[in-house]
Amino acid sequence: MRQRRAHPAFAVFWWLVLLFLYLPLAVVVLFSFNAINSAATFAGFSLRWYVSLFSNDAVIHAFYNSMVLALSSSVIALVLGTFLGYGLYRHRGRRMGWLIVLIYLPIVMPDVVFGISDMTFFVRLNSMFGILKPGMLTMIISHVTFELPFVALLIYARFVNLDAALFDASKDLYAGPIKRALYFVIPAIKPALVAGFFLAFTLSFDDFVISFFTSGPESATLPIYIWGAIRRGISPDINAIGSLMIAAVLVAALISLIFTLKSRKREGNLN
Amino acid sequence: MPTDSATREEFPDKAAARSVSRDASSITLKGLSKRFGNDVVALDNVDLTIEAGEFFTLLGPSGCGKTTLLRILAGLDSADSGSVEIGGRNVTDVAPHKRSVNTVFQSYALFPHLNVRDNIAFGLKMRGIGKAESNTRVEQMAASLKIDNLLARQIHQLSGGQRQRIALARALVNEPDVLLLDEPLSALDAGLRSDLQVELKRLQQRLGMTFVFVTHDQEEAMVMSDRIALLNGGSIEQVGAPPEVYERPRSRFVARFIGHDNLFPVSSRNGYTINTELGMLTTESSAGGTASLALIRPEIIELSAPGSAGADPTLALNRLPGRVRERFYRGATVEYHLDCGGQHIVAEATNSGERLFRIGDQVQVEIYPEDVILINE
Repeated sequence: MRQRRAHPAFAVFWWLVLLFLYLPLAVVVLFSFNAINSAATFAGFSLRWYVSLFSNDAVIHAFYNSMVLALSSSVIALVLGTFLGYGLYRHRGRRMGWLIVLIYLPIVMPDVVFGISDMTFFVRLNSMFGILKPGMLTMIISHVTFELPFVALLIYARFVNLDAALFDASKDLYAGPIKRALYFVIPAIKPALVAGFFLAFTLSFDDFVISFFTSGPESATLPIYIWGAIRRGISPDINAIGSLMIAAVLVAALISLIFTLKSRKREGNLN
Repeated sequence: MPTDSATREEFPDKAAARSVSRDASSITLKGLSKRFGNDVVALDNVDLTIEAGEFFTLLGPSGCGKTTLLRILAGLDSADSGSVEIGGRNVTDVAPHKRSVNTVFQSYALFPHLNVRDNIAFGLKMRGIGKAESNTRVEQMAASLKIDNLLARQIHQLSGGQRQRIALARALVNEPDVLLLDEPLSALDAGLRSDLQVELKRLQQRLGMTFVFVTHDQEEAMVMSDRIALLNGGSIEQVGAPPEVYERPRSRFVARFIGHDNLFPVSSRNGYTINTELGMLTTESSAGGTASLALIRPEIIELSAPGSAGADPTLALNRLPGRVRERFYRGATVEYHLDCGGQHIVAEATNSGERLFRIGDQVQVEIYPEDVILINE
């Protein structure tokens, strides 16, 4: 096959895109190892900001909150989103097909709108019935709602790509409803389950806007902590937090990628 | 080609089991009806009996209800009314996973997340059969279908023909009372397809298992089946052995669907003579009451040069003058499209190496009285 050479202007454009994408991240990582308290000059390698980070109770608490929020909301979103995706798949041919639009809508909805409406809703609910005081629980509920459509669509897409006759085949081969779920449905959609979990986890972990509007005084997450800290000026330990978050997201992406490659090797181009 | 006794050795338990419980695999359908929505009739009051150990084919065009019928046998669809008995047991309301019936699907429906071995073992695992026994049975089955070298492969690495065999193995390893096959050869190319037709037929004879086969390909149906049911618009038009449906079609639909047809309406009948648009034709018999259609199969028509003595001048042959309008050379046979007094008639002649007729040639069309098939609709 003939290899087409890209126009030189395109190559310049490409490198510019990469530069603007990754240079700020590289700067954050570099300055997190800075020996002095400066955002302008790099005066040598040191781990002092990481040390101060791990002795800062507020940071540890925020990290703990972030993990609890991201883990629980993504597990709940995964379970509910799987049922939703399956339901969408089963009813796709019928009159309920238009319902999928309702699933897409939250994805394009601005986070600010989501956050403000969630906040108003929970505050009103709390003042009327005394339940759902802003805090971790309201955050988890809000996070589940915005993660849900992503998970549901991933699962739905996976089902659509499966041969519909596989459902018949599993029934034909003596699998009752429970065995069908355990030995056919769940293994067959496993790549989408893994991808859905990691997507929901990263969405939750780096969300600021929705967390901000729905959190209580005790439930600040890492992004909320960073926002508060930055108002007092950018300190190098913010760079350290940023670097750790980059590392966490990279690890999650890597696990997800390895899994995808493994299942692609098993199933060819089905994914 | 292994001998019959040698191949039976590969399925010792099955051959024995089948000779004892042959009746377990007969099928009786009574008054089966099925509609999709309000106006699509998939099946209309179908009665059918399939004998144990039979290779039975449901044949018909797409939308005739053959696949719906198969799915009702498998339990994957339920009939609106009527009953299904397998081996004398009423299974009308029995869930598919509780029926001793397995299906080879048109798309094969092999599980993409499992390798070949686990695909074949799936049914055994679901029935709680132990690992050791399951392994033995999977390996025996794979060996007998010559796919034992594929057991560790992933599904996407296999060709269509290999997938077909694995789908077959996955169904047969469960030793069902009845095997259902939903157009399993339709996705394969012609050469492989005819090989597998022969192989499937041999396998069925070897196992003595009841096979219910669905196809829209009349040739495939003729080659493989003990009996064929022709379906049209959700109803059974005719059931019979291949020679029966070919030589004595009961309706215009059957005559058309099986083989090439020359069909002529009969306007009157007088003893041995019928009056058709082709002219007066002598038939073999005067019995059977009125007839509405005369069918003449293309391959029984004899063609000779005009004025020649023809096949046998002493016989009471139907002789008609014709002219060659088109010729299609097929190798073993030559297909002539003839004009017989304004009527279009197709003749298929064996290519014996003699001179072929050319387009425009005048020919003598000869039809034996016993080859004029009368259809009473």
